[in-house]
Amino acid sequence: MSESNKKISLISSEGEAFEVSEAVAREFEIVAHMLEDGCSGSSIPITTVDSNILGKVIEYCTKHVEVGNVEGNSEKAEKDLEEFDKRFIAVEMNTLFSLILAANYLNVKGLLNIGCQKVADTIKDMKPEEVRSIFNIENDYTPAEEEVVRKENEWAFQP
Amino acid sequence: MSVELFHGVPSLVDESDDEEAMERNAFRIGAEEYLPEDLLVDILSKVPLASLARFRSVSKRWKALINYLRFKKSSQIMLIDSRVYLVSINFLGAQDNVVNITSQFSLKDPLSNSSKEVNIREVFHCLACCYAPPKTID
Repeated sequence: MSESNKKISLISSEGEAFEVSEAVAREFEIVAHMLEDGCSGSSIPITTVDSNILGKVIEYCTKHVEVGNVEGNSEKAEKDLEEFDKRFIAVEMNTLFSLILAANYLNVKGLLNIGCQKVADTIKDMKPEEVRSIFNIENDYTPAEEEVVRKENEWAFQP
Repeated sequence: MSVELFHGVPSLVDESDDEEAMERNAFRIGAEEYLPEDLLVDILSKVPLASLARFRSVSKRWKALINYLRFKKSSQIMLIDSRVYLVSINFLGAQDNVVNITSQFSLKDPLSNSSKEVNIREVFHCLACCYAPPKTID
């Protein structure tokens, strides 16, 4: 297909243009839908995502498109991709949240999934106090109420 | 084993769209960044049940969300083709009242198709009324 060579510019919130192949841009489901709806422009503004995060999302999609195009030896390719995902998502919490928000907005399901999984893995062994600080949650229990909820779930607090 | 009564799904989305509602339904995770509640639900659905039990003391909102998730993850008793099945259902992927059964157990025919799609006709907000404990204890 001649279309596979077509380039599309994705414009970050700062106005920086990232030129990608149409195949990579289509990994963003929101872009794929735009293209299917006949939006033929070659530059698409992604106003809610900054350059740093957009660059990362493009890196993720590029890798996944590349691996998807390789024929044969699929087991090794899958393992490589898993390794890539693991390294890719090993970022600090703020970046991780930004990646999740971007993946959600752009509708990149694979990235959204590994992002949410990473947050889940990070918080699963934390104390409620630590979780509150990560999500900026105010404790709205009175000390007595909190005691009751803790008692109800005491088994889950055992080390 | 205790069986909790389920009192209905809490409304997850506040219909009003003012900024205050945004703050109620989302979690501030940066200076100007908010994590929408549906994404928090996605995250919490990947957290083990033991951790969820502990996280019920994070805040009242989290407790409500976690109670809701526990219902989604729990086993249901379902009548399919006039037979009673204990099933576990993926409510998270539910669309138009159609859900996928992730596993099912039937006393009559354990090998019957294990991943079929079913239509929800009615949800009874009472798990306990169908619960029959094994009589081996007494």
